[in-house]
Amino acid sequence: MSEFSDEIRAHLEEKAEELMARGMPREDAWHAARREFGNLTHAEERSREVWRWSLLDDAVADVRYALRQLAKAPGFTVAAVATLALGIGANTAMYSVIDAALVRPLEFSEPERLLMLWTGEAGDVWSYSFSYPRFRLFEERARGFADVAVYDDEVVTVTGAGSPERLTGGRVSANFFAVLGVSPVLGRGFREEEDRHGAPAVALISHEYWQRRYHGDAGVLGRGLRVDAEEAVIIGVLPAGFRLRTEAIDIWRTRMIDTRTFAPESVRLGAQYLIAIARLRPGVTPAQARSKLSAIDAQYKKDNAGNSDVTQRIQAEPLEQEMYVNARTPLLVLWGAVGGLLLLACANVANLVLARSLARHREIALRMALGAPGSRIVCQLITEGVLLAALGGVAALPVAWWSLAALAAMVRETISSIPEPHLNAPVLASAFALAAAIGVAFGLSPAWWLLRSKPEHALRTSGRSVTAGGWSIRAREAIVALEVALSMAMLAAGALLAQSFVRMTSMETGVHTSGVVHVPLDLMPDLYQAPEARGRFYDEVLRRASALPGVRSAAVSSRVDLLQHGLGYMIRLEGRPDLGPRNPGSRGRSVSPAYFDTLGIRLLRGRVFSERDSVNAPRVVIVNEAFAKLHYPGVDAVGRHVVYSTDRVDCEIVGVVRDVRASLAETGAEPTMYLPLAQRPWLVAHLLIRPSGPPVAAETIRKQVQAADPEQAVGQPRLLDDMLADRLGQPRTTMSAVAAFALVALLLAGIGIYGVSAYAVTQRSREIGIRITLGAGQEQVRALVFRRTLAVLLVGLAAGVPLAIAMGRLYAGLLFGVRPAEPVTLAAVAGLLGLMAVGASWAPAARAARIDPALSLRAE
Amino acid sequence: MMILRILRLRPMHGYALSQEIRAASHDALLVEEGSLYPALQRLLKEGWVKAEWSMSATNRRVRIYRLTPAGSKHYEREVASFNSMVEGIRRVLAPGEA
Repeated sequence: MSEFSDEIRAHLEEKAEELMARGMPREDAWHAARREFGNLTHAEERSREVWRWSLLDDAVADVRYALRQLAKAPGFTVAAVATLALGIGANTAMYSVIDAALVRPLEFSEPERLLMLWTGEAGDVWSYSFSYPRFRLFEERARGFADVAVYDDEVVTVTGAGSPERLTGGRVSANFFAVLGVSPVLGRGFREEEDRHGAPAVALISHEYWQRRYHGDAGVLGRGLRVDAEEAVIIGVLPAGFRLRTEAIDIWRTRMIDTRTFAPESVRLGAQYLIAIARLRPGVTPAQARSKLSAIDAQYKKDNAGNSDVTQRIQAEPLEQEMYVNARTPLLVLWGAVGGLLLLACANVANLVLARSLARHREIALRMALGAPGSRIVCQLITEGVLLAALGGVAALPVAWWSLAALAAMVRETISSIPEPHLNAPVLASAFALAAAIGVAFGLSPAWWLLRSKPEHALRTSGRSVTAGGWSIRAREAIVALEVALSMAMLAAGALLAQSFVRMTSMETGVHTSGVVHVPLDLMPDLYQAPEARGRFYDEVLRRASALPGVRSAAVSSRVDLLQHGLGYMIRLEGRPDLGPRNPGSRGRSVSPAYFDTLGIRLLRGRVFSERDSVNAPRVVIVNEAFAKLHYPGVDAVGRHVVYSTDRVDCEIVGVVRDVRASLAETGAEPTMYLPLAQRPWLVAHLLIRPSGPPVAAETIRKQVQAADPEQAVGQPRLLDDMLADRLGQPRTTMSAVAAFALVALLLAGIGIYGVSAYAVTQRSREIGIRITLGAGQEQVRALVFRRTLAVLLVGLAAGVPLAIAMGRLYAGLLFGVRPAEPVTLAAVAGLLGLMAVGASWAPAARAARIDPALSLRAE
Repeated sequence: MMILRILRLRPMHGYALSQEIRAASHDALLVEEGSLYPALQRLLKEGWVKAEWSMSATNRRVRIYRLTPAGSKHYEREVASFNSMVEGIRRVLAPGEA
């Protein structure tokens, strides 16, 4: 404060003047004055200090006072702190999850330079839509501004230690890890020359696999590992915790051209099975990269006009954004729900604080009359608010800690794999900032009102003056109306998601899956290259499976209806022109004869496959209704000819079967062809077993199937229903969580309505007493209370319905067969809120009716 | 306490206060003038004095300090306790000499 300086200067001037008046020369007078004063800066500094410590003293006094006040009202304090702890804790935990999945940068070096590349529509990013020929062109041409790498996952059989192990493997271009910026912790990465047809087989293993199988032995380098019946030399170990999104991949190999899905003609014709990433060179922006990539894309389309993937456009987006893109909407929906709960919690606590501060009106008015400045009172109230919120924030930490583990597990299991969430510094900082903001708001609201009202009034009346009461009731009612609006939006979300889920699960699928067991089979490419070898294996597996006691039928399919989409084929119909890349497409599945029977798919026309349709027999195909309706409307499809695939197989349609839903998340079926497994056997297949009665033991099945080829790993048998239930994990979790939060919101709103209703009755007891005296009956008094509640409810609904509809647009993507503004659902939710409002104000209404007018009128 | 006593008689600004203190104690208490100001701030903080800017007799802008009711009360209490303390010491030092 320069006030000190001014004052001291004035002091010195005066002194000097006095000395000069006595005859001392000017210079000497000044020197003398300075000397007698003593140390100038010292004086100023110590003056300042008085006030500096004073602020701290004040703050400490405020905190002590606030603590005493809170201790004096334990009910209020516990309720408020607990409510805040739950709200802030849940939000902190949820934000940690979002931080891990969507905010925190990827754990690769310079992740902002990584792009995800794909062809097709936006949002379809992880659907493996990059073709090998495209990759080769881009790799070469983009070298000036970016390095492009690709990745595919596969299932491999690893032998050498007991029964063969079925593991998930990764197939990458040699530069993949370099592009990601990941270096092996042991050994080296892949080299360019190892990514060629005929190169010696090498492998990188994951850290976890290294620990599991080799117990961290550094001598693992150079050792051989028998992968898919081929000896691969282990050249390196990847860092611990490295994972690309989903399940942990144990073995990485290169030699992209040899991956299982690449039959030579498929490669030539652009089979799209890869995921592509690119690292931008320094100085290149994503926008520049995009335009250059488009140019290369145009080149690809010109050079490869016959390929099936020319109709799709290249897209490029930052990898950080796309990594967990599947989780984005569900996570944000959950966060919205948790956020809504926090708002409701704050609203309830605000009501509590407001009620309490009004009760302390007299005490504060007294303090003001005794001379305490308004600013001190405000500071003290703000301190109380901040202290309350701080207590809530601290209590929120264990809540956050505990719920974080549960939340992460739930998300991982059902929505998407995400990195490990932590309660890290930014998250905690934001939690405390939130608590502080809440605290200041709580402190300021009563302070503002109390300072505006005249203290003299408070002291003179009993504090129950009509104006004060009226204002406070209205304020609390406004808060409750907001709570109703929020609850409406949350309940609507919960109800719509629940409705959507019920539709999804109850809608007929077209298959009967109960009791069916699923066993994954992934044949080793080198051992089963010839279709005949694959056919023999499947025959053996089916023979063994059918021979098991308790098995009614067994079938093998390349892709199972409902579980996986069929493979995409280009087809040409007999008598129709050849449109090249614009030929229609169809899904296709290779199935053994008993497939339809095993899954309960009904035959509508013609026949199913039999032993007749062997590998050397004429080519046949069975189509579904959707296919028949699309290509042969009104006529019989049986007997027509279809040419499919790149090798132009001409086959005759011999049967039409009932549609099966494309997936649990879709309502309709896609046009599909069923091919005889013997005529088109794939390396990847699924064994399905339908028991005739009680379930057959999984271990029995596995042993039987394993015996078909002891070298070939067989996957774990599981109930098909369980696998389908897994698919439903995400919608089920989202629905359950939102519904649970919505019910808590309903409860909080109910508490709010009860609180304000009871308060209004107390405040207006005088008025009610008068009415009773004037002849109002119990019914009328109760109606008075209910009318007021209804008014609040209607205001809340008026805001809540548009809010619910607006928010519905945000999560519309999660809804199945249900619109965000379903009138019946919204009406039902509004009705539920109405019931709650009546129920919550029942007790206060009853109390109002029982008021003794004599008592209420006298109690002033 | 001395400051309070002086201000009790009439309000004044810092320099005048220092002159009064010197005069009142007959130069026996040579208080370093600089230490006056921190003391005044402490009194302000406790709420025993009030300060406001004004023009002095010599047309200079000065800050005038004035005793508050709380300050007055405090002064009286302090004087009472000081006197009883002095009385106590006197009795200890010279018993019987009342």
